[in-house]
Amino acid sequence: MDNKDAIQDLESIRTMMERSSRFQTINGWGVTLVGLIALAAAAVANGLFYEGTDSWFSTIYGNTDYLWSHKTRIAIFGAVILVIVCGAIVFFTSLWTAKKKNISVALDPNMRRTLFNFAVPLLAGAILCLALLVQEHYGLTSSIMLIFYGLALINCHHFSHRLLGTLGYLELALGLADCFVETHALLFWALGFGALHVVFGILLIVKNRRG
Amino acid sequence: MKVSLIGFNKAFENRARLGIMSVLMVNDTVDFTTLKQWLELTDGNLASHTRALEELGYIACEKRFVGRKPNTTFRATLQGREAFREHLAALEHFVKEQK
Repeated sequence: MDNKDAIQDLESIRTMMERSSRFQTINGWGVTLVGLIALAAAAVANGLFYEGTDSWFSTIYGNTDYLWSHKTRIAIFGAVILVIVCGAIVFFTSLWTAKKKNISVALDPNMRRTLFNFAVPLLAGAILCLALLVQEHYGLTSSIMLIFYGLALINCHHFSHRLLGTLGYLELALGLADCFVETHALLFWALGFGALHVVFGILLIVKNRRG
Repeated sequence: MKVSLIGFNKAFENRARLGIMSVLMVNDTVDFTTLKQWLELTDGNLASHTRALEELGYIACEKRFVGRKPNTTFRATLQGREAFREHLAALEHFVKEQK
C-alpha cells in the first residue's frame, strides 16, 4: 500500500460516514421559491392590512380591532395553506433531486430522522401559536413562529445539510430580536421566512453545483 | 523505503468492506437494502463481503421477516469497532509519516 492508496482509503471512509449519516438532497431551487412566495405573501398581507397608511411593515398586531374580522380569518387561512404548499414544494423538489442522484428516499433512514426531528419542535410551536391566537394574545406570534422554526432546524441539522443549522440559528436570533420589538412583526416575518430562505436556497444551489 | 505495515488490517483492504465498516461505525443498525444503496454494490457482492466480516466477528447480522419479506440488519460488534479504529489509526499514522 502506498501513500495514495492510504489517502484514498481515508477519503472513502469519510465519504461513507458522511453519506450514511446525513440526508443531503435538499433542493436549493425549491427553498428559493419558498422564500420568494413568502416575500410575495408578506407584500400581499401588507397591502391587506395597511391600506391607505404610509407605514409599510409597521404593525400588524397593534390594532386588534382587525382580529377575527373577516379579513384576518382569510389571512390566517391563507397562511396555513401557504405553509402546507411551501412544505410540499421543498419535499417534492427534494424527491426530484434524490431521483436524479439515484437515491431512493423512501429507504433513507436519515430522511426519516430529519423529518421527525424537524416536525416535533415545529408542531409544538404551531400548537402554542394556535393557543395564543385563541386566547387573543397576538403580540408574540411572529417571534414564536421564528423561534420554533429555528429550533426545529437546529434539531434536525445533525441528520441533514450542515447549512440547516446555520439557518436555524439565524431564524432563532431573528425571532428573539422580534420579541423585544412590539411593532414590525410583518417585517421580521418577511426577513425570516422570505429573505433568509432566498439566500439559503441560493447557497444550496451553489454548494450542490460544486458537489 | 521500508515502511512498517503493523496495524493495517487485511480484512479492510477491500474498499467495499471498508465502506461497510464506515457505515456501521456511525449507524447502530443498517438493513441490507439501505447498505446496498449507500455503497452502490450488487446483492451478491454485498452479501459476500458481509459474510466475510461476519465470519471474522466484526459485524453481527440479524435476519427476520417483515411481513413475508426477509429483512437482514447489520451492526458492528465491539471487536469490529476496535479493529476498525486500529486500522484507521494505522492509516492516519502512515499518511503522516509519508509527508
